[in-house]
Amino acid sequence: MSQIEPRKSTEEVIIRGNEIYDQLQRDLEIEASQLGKHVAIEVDSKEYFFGDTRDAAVKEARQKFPDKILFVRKIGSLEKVARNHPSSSSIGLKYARVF
Amino acid sequence: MHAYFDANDGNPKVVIEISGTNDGIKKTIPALLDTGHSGSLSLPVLDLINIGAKLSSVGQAEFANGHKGVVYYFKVMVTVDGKTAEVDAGMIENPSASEAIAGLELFAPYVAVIDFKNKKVEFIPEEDLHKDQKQS
Repeated sequence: MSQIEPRKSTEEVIIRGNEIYDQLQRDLEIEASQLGKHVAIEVDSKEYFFGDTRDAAVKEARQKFPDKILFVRKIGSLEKVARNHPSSSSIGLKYARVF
Repeated sequence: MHAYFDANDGNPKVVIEISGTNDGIKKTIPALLDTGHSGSLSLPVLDLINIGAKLSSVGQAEFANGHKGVVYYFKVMVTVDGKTAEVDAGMIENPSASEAIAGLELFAPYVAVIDFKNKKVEFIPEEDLHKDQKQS
């Protein structure tokens, strides 16, 4: 009988994604070489893909990982989102247990 | 492309069509054109449920109020001006939010002319702009 790999919670993806991002910064200094670009990280394999935009980085990663939940962030300062986006970190983390 | 100033709130809006994994469910919605939004699109959670969008990625972002937090992104097919593209749309968590927010990335192939004085919004494909410049 084939084994089904348990899916990571989004909370785990965020934690692992941040760890890998910090490691990329330490090892490759991506905040100097890729500043302003976006990086999409597949946290199980630790593979990462750069793109000029968020969608470009995701598109690149999707060619190899069509179904994985990716961790994506802007390199350097965080991406700025909508002016009336009613989110907060507390609401966001509550949803981590939903997905 | 249908873009206009909303008489109710005075903000520039653009009409887009969205679909997810629920076959046949397409929604045509107005989206607030937000030049302070560097991503492509944010959609209310109820719209995402309605079209059956699938979770694609998670990320961290800074909100306009200065808070940093988690954003969930869903795979959505978006049709703008007859052209369909797959984008990762950010989820607006608040269930009472009903308005989509379109950011700069969604309109990258266009030049936007926002005439606040006459309350008009116009999108011009970049190639048409160059064509006009050559003719003049």
